[in-house]
Amino acid sequence: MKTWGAISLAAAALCVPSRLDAGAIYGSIFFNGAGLKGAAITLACGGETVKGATLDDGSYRITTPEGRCTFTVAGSFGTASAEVTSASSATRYSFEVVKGAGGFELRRQ
Amino acid sequence: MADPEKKGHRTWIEISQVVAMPLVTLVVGYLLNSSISSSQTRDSNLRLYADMMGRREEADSALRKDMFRSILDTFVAKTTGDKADPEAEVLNLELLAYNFHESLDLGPLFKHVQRQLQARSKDAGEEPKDRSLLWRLERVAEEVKERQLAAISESGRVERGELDVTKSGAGAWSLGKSLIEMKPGEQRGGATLCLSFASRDFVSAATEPVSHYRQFRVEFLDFAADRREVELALAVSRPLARAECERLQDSGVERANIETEAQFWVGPFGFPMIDNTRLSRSERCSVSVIRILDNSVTVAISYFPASRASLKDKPYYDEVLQDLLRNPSASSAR
Repeated sequence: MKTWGAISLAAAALCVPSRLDAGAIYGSIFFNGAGLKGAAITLACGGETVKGATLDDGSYRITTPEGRCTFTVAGSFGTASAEVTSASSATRYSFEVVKGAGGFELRRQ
Repeated sequence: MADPEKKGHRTWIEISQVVAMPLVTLVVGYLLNSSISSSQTRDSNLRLYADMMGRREEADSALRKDMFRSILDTFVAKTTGDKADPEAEVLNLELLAYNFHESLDLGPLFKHVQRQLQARSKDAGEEPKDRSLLWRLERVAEEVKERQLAAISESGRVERGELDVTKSGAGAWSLGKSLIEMKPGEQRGGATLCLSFASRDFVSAATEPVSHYRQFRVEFLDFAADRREVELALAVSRPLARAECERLQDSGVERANIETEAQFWVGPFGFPMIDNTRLSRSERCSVSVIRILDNSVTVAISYFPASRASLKDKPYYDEVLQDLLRNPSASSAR
């Protein structure tokens, strides 16, 4: 049930149509040295929020409005966030989920 | 009875001793002389051949330089009042492409003429002549790419396939036998291939060519229909063992194996010999768009030795030095 949910979420993320003022953010999320499978991703860009999920290999691709966004990934560790910038051309953001002083955080790869 | 016989033998031995020395000197002298003479003849022939080749190359270069300058001038030395003749521009580009595709990146010039033709079509309405010129432009580029891919495949590896721009992830790609199949139901961000070619191994300095295996992961990011270009992300692994290369690795291992990553837009005017990615061990790889039909993009992924890259491609000095130290004969053949 959980897997189907993740698959539908991933499919929904991949089906987001590209817009004229939108850019894509793509990459992979790693946790404990392996790709993070089926993790929910939320991108908050100004007042707009875009959701997506990672695939089986931990990779993702989300179309977002251009500008600065807060990238949040949720998994068994809780949640971890980082600031990203979306541009007209696709931008790669690959992260490793690591334990920091105040909980888990995203370290760019 | 025995004494005269012995005396006769001694006489013969004495005669032989006297004759043998000059005879041996004569034979050795003759052999030495003929060896030096043949070596000199060979050297002189080689010098003559090198000289002739040099002169021919010089004459050829001068001719090509003049030709190149006169053709290029038609593109760059236009005054503002001059109106470009699109047919002449396409013809000039054809001449440049067929004669200089190995030494120049003609992609920007192709795009420039394409933009001009597209703008003309917009201003004056779609004319059959402009459509035919745009088609001619893409056909020339396709022919040049095919020539380059044929040269590359002689000593490297070329994998062809299709990309469906309406899909995403690994499912957007349909590639040949180099594609590593995923488990049923598995979803990945990109397609992974295992490509190899036989080459001298500079690391082990083996005299016989050995096969180099690398994994290539291609990810489709975006499609610009107006520019007729696709945006791709390419990740290439370090050289792997065959068994390791031919199976999908765990994403953590796959990431650790990555040697080079590149993200780029590629369209019909990206030529593999010129527009490629550098890899270690004097190797190159390239993703070329052969043609675009509606939502289907025909691509060719090539993996080849740097010796097959264009004349414009300059190997790094440290790379040449390393090759030279590891394998002098291979480096001299570059």
